[in-house]
Amino acid sequence: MFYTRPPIRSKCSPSIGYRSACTLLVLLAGTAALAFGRGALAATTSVDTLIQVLFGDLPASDGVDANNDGAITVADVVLAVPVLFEGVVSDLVPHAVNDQLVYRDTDPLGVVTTETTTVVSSDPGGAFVIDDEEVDNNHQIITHELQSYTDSGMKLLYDGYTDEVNNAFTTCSPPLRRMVMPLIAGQSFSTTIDCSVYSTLDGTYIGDSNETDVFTPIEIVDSIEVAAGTFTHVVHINGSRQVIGAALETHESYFASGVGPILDLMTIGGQTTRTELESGTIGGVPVVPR
Amino acid sequence: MLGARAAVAAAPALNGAVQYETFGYPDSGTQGPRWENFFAATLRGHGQFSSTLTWQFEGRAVADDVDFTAGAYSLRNASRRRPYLSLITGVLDYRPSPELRVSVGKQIANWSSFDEIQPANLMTPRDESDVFRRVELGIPSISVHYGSGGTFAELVVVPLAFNPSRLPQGRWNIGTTIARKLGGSFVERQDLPPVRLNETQAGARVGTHWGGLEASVVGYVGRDTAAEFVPGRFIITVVNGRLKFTPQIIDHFPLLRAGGITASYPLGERWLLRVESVYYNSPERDRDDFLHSVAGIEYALDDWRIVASYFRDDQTVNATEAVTNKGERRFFQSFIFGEVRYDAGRRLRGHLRAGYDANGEFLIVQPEVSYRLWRTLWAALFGEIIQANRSSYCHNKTSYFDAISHEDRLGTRIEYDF
Repeated sequence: MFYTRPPIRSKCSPSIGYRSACTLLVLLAGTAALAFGRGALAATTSVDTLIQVLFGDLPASDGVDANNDGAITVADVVLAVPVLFEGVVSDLVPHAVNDQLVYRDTDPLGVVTTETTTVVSSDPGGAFVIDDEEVDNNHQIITHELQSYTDSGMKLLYDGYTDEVNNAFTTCSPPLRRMVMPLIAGQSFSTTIDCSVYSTLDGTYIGDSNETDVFTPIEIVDSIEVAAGTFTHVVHINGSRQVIGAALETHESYFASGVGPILDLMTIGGQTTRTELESGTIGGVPVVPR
Repeated sequence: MLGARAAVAAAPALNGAVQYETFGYPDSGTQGPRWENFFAATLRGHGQFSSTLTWQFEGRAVADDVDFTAGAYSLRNASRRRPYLSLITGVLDYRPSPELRVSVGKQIANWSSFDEIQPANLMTPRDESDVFRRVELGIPSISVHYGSGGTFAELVVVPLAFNPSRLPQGRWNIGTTIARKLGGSFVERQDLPPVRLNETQAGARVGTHWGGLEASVVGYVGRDTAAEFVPGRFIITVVNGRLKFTPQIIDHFPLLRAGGITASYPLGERWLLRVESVYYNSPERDRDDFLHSVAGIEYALDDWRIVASYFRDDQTVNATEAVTNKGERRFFQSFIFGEVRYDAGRRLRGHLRAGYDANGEFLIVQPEVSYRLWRTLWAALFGEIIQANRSSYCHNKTSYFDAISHEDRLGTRIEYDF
């Protein structure tokens, strides 16, 4: 689910809503947090002060010696940049074939469903496909999508998806930037995309929509408790999706490095859907909270 | 003044027909074991106010039990469902001289000489609620017809308001077909142009007779009465905290500039050759340019009439924007169709119509046998059999026939003419 369906696909789903697509971005943020989290967060609050000190407007003060070398230098400014995650996309969001994450989705009415994301293909060029299927308690399929992404190392791009339930596929131009490395607190990245929807049966053109997606890395969170357990040093990314003609959709997403998205709170019109990690397997090893 | 002249004019003549049909679907794979009923009454009249001023009209009342009909009357064919009452034509004809006729009112302007597929019918819309019972609908217009010697010319102007064809309903609805593919709901909206000066349509025909040959040139500027289907903006709602996207399909009637030729020529007393070719051009980005051509030969022998025709669609310029479906205008690509008819003027008559798309995608057969029970009271047994060989069509993608890959409607009709 964290690989959640991208906005694009939603547009084509005639009768099925979709969760927003912030997941991957969130994952990236999470990874960064693990690598650099504490130091980055500590420095973050001192950037303005450091600059003031370096340029002489203010006397030196405590807490700005980011590298603890006893002197206030440019090195302290560099360290003060609030990088939440510096690795590559796959560090934060692994996507080897057969990696699988299982989520518990709780809609605003309290109805619980199970969503399973599985990486079903991957090529050396960075393209990979995630099978995302959501079923209800009676194992009836609610949504089933094949989502296409491209991992360029420093960027995670969402290319479109195929809706297996509604026999539709969606392509977007330009690809949606879901994650841009490094993840820096407060440094947003947005993409405005135009997506077209077609029938998978005969290519019939169904429609198109425009939307703007914005992702903003927020912080490193010490710990987050989800169904799978308690994860520490989690990257928090805020996302918003504005489809023309629709209510604003916002996401508070949390990523654990080496796992991916572990929690997503999607809010539309004051109604929140919670998607939390229940279990998973990464690289053939069960996901264990840490 | 009109009333005074009417007092001395001939009495108006009225005639018409009443018909009742009931039909079913033997194949459970199509519509299932059910019966549908259809009723229609047609009243026609004509008369004269004076030697130069005459009138004519045709009115129609219909009813059915499959929800194809709603509302008492529909201006401009604006309603998606057909109305119970329709004025098919209602015209005043003014003939100041034998060569000149000016007609004002709701009238048919169809320059095609073919029965079913009619490239040269550029102006007259149809009610295709039931695709097997298409009815031509008059257009509110002013026409001037001039004929002298072997030459004739006609100008038809439809001021201000465009009148579209009424689209097939029920399982022939293109929107239903698309929605079925997507497994969800949809919204269909008719894009009816506003009433304004630049929506005025005009068509002209100039022709001549040369020996047995009748040939004419036709032209038209306005909108296509046959819709194409374009995607509208998704209708987005929030359901249980998620965005729900509902497709919207727009019935769009593209701007049209068309021109072509029609010709017919008899070979002896039994054969008749006919040909039409019309080029369709549109300034709209989502409409192709294409050439429609049809040629046919008719053979008449005593009580028999045999017609064989061939129609083809040749696309010449590709549209720059995609559509959901190109509509009925582009459905047939390479179509062979014909009819064998028997009518000896006695109690029994019948016909067999058939058509086959040479791309192997579509076959239709329509047999009918009628028997005169009493005077002008007829009972008919008819069938409509369709076999669509593909779930989708290579040249036109989804069509309304796609929803019924196999159709085998059988029915009876009682009809009384008066």
